[in-house]
Amino acid sequence: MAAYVEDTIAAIATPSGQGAIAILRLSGLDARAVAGRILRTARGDRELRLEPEGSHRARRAQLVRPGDSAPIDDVLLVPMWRPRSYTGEDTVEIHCHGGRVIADAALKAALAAGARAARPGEFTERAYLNGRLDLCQAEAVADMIHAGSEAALAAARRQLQGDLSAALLRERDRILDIRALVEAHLDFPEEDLPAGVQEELREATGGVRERLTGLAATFARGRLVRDGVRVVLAGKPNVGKSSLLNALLGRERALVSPEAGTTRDYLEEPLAVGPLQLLLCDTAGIRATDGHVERAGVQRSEERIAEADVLILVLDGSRPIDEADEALYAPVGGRPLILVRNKCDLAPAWSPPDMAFGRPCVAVSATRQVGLADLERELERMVPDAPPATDGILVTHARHYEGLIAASHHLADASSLVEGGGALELVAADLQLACGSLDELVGRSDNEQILDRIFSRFCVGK
Amino acid sequence: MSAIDVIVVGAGHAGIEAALASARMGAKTLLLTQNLDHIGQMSCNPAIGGVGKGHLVREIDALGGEMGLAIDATGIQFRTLNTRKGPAVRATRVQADKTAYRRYMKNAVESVPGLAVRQGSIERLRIEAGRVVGVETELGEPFSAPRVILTTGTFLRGLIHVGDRNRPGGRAGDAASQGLSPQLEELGFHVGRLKTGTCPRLDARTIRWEELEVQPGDDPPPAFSFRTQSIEQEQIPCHITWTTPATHQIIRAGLERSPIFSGRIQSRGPRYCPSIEDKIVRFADKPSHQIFLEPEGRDTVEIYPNGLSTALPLDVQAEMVRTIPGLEQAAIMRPGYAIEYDFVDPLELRASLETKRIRGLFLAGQINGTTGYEEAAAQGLMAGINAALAARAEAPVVLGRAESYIGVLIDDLVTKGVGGEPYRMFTSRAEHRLLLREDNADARLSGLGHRIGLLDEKSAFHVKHRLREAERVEAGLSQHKIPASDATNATLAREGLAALRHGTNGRELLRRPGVRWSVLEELGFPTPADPKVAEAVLLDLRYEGYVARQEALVEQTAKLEQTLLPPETDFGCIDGLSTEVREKLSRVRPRTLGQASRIPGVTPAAISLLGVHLRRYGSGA
Repeated sequence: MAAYVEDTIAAIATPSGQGAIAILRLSGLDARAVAGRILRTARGDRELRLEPEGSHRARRAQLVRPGDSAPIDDVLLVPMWRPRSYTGEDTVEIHCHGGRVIADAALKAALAAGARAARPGEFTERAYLNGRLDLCQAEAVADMIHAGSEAALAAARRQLQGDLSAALLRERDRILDIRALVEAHLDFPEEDLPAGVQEELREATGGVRERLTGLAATFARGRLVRDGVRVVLAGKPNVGKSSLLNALLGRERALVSPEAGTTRDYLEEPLAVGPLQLLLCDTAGIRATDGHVERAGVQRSEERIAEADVLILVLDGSRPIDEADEALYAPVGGRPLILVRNKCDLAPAWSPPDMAFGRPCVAVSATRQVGLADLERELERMVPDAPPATDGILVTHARHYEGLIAASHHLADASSLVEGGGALELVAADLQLACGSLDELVGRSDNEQILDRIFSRFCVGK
Repeated sequence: MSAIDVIVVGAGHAGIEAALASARMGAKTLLLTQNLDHIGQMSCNPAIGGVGKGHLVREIDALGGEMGLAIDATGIQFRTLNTRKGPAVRATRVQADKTAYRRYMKNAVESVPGLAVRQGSIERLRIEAGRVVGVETELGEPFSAPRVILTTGTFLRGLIHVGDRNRPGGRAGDAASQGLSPQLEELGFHVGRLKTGTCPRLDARTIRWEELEVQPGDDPPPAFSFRTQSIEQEQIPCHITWTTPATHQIIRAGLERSPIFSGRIQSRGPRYCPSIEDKIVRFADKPSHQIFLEPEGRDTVEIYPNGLSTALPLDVQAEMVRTIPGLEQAAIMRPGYAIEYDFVDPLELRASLETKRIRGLFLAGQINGTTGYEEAAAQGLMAGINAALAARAEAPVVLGRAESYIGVLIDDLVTKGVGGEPYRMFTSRAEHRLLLREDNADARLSGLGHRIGLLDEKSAFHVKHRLREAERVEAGLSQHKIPASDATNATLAREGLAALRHGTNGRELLRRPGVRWSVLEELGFPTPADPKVAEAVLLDLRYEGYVARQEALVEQTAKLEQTLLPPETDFGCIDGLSTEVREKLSRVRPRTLGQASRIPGVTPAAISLLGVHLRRYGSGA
């Protein structure tokens, strides 16, 4: 993944299209020289010299092509010299007026002046390579950019601040302490080391494991916060799924008709509910059919339903619940499910009307916009809260979750060895693996620390 | 004598192994020592082995070195440590008869054809155009050879401290070498200074033995060498006593006269082998410290009180000793002392132990900043092997971290240096510890020892035969069906083991905790006649899962370890690297990407940069 960092890269850092400003960003060993070739003073009377002491101070200038004095644009430039920049390298940001033509001209000028067009993500990659960000933080940068909700943004921000890294390093530090205890007993068998190792080992290992599994448990929410919640509308044909989708979105996104089987393919639309982002998915109504296209649609529906984080099973409140409804309800099992009694403006066909399959259902009229707030509240409730005692840190990446689970498995192995009186060297091996799992998450490792800990804690040596 | 291939300077534990290996591999070798009567002298404690160190001795032995055989022949107490903590940390430790050990080693170096032994104090290396061409004694006598191995121990500008007195010396009773380290500095080597120390020696006739806890040797005594048939000599026990509050008070009162605390000694001593005054200052809460009383030999009354290393003034030493139970009337025969000496930063070395600056010059032992007889011997052996290989124009042997403690030791030295204190081996330094057991050292290394012409054919064959036998037994166990019958379960119940619910085979049964060979025997599978085979099979089966996991980890890093960095790589011009990382890489000049990744401060990001640099500009691989 790493690049050989020898050159200066350039890219337009703002979205393409029209906007108030466009920012050209340069980073690399020669960023200063490259910028110098395409900038003149604000009055345009001479070339601009970028002084080392001018870091982090904005100033006005004229943007030109190398070797040309005709201005492309009046710009604002912000130099940030290494190591105090995002990438850790000399960086210059040039704020031009917005618009595709100016941005293109600015980038071309930079390339003509000796920069290379940056690959996607290359600025962050350099920040990582230069030690400005650890692996977790680098991942958070992309998350911030792609955040689809306030909650996702908040989680990414905390990860970028290093909260997750700090929590991981804290636990890793505790494992190092435990390892020091074990290693002292292995390497200094003839010393009178403190008794009660078993007890200390059990407690410390259990404590770390509890905290790591606590962090891992936040992934149930974190995953939904980062990726968005897949909400699938399922039901028989013609119960009003598409109408409900339109009602929730507040616009006529899906085609609706009184004819059963209007929706042939599934349809996915983002929807913000509270701090969360949902991916609302309308599916073709499920029924036995001979139509080739409709059958393919039904199959796709079933796939969507299988992948759903939350399933909304829509029932037609004006008609009795039949076998087809039951066939959809039966396989749900323990998965998050909301039952919706649609068409609640019509006379209910079953009693009590707020219960179906022995569980409560939300009364909604999609066409009359009734009960939508109740449904949204239900949706929010479906997303698990983060467990307490994790200090609001959310694990949002599968990689982090898997690392945490791996580490806690190794700790569990170590604990059961201690319980069962297994060889201490095997306990040490499991602790080493637990440490390694956390090292991989933050991208660091150093074994020397163990010996330092032994000598600072125990009086060993004859 | 015809032209010399290899000169070894110093006949301590490193020098002996270097000279023997070099000569046995067919290189014409000259061993030079200051004093022919001090060959193989144990300057400090009278013991070989211990956790990590014992592992080194087994490896030296497996490659065809002498240390294991020497201590088996002259030991006076043999023990296995860590018996209950698992086979990988199980370790042998043997008390030595110092005089017998010396005599054994003198005889060993005098009986190898092609090895000449000469008394002479080396004060100068002869260097021509970046190559070593020989040495010169203090009397101006020149010796020529294209390869020189320096094993100078604590002799380089050695300075002995007792209280506020100090005097030059390489060890109590021997002169220091003054000329060599200034010359090394002139040649550009980074020369630093380290400190170590030793205990006062006590007169056994003045100790009240009847009051002390006895620590006997094991029965039967465990041997170090896989070539030793059995240990026949009678064992002598050690004894254990403790310091008292009175001891600590006297030490505290004497601290200002200790060179360690008065500031006379600037260099740092080893934290794992602290002086008694260090222990009392750093761990002030600890009311008492353990002292082991170890005999220095069969026909001497000198006793080594292990744990009492000190540089306090003589009067304080005497007073302190007498506050210890059993030592109330103890007489000191030799004072304890601290010694400061020069060492060469081992980052100056290639993994072959040849220096990067001077072709043909090898360094081994304490000169590289290590401590311990075993660490010294291991380096001496490898330097001797590689000098002899160089004489044959063959590539050096570099052992891997996953195959030996010797590999861990040398890789640590040449990659990380010694970080301010003498380097000692610990099993926790080996990330693949479970693979590196004392009991499988011969299986790991005897083949190599034989291939390079050091270990004799017969010994190597024995190991090979044993390994084949173990394989045969394991295969037999897999074939041996054990039904879940009443008879089987009755046998298991007698041994206190859980009953079988389904039929199984011998292999699966033996893997269960608590199942011993005797159980298999009762169930119709004969115990292997060779106890080493029985042990190896049992350990292999029990550790199969863990070993597989460690091997998978080794596999993961194998790619980094095999990616060679061309020797001409200019780390200074790789732009993405921070100045700090560039300096570190330029200093160490790692041989492989794996080695680079272990340099402290070199980040995983820097390693990926190096990887890309190699892909772009080519690698030596």
